[in-house]
Amino acid sequence: MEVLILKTNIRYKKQVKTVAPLLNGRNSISRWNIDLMDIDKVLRIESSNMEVTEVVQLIQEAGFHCEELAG
Amino acid sequence: MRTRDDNKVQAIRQKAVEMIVQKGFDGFSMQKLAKAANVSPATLYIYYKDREDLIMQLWGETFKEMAEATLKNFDPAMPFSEGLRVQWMNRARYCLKHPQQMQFMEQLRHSPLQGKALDIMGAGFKNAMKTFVSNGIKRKELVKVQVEVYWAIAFAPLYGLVKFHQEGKSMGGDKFTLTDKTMNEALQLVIKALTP
Repeated sequence: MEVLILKTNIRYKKQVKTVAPLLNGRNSISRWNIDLMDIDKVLRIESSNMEVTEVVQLIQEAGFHCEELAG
Repeated sequence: MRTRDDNKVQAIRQKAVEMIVQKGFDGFSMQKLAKAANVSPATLYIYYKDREDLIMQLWGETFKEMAEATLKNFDPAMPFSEGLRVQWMNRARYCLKHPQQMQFMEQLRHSPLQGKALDIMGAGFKNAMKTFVSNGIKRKELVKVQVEVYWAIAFAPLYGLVKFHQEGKSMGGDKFTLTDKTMNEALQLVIKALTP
């Protein structure tokens, strides 16, 4: 299990709902959440065998900005 | 996979409490905390799901430490005056040693997270206090009053004195230091007030 940490511009619950099906549909993602209280609107993903670039692409296709948060 | 580094976690906890005490919940962010604790924001999210998760975990750990310190050498079956004395000493010691932790817990109790905080507290501490009080009443060592009245008489005087001590001065700005003698004096009056 690995934790992926990404910065997004997903600001509202309604927007979370639009990306939810995309993330829920991936078998490699076991859990995810977005910290709307945080300025970086951090998307946190617990996954196995998933590349950060895959997530970035997924979120961008939904119309949001997404990048890896520097670790 | 990155592993949990206990020293790092300790630093994060300490800085988080400091920041919340100094800047309030509104002034507390994962970025500022990461900077202060000298870790990357991404590292924080390895340990905590989100900002609220961090605050609630912090509360849980802080409350647990406070409860353990308060219950040290204490037994709910103790005679009332003895049990109260042990608690006064324990509570005073904890407050003086961890003023920021006390302040943090106070802030959380007055925040919208209060409801969740109560769930995390668990029943252990509350039950020990309850049993102690009901034993005291049963043995006629303690007057039967509303629990809030009991608390206000049993503990509020102590926290009042501790506050004076931490500020270094009392009501009129007079210098004040809490000594064992002062504390005992107050405790004796409290016991007198609560004795049937």
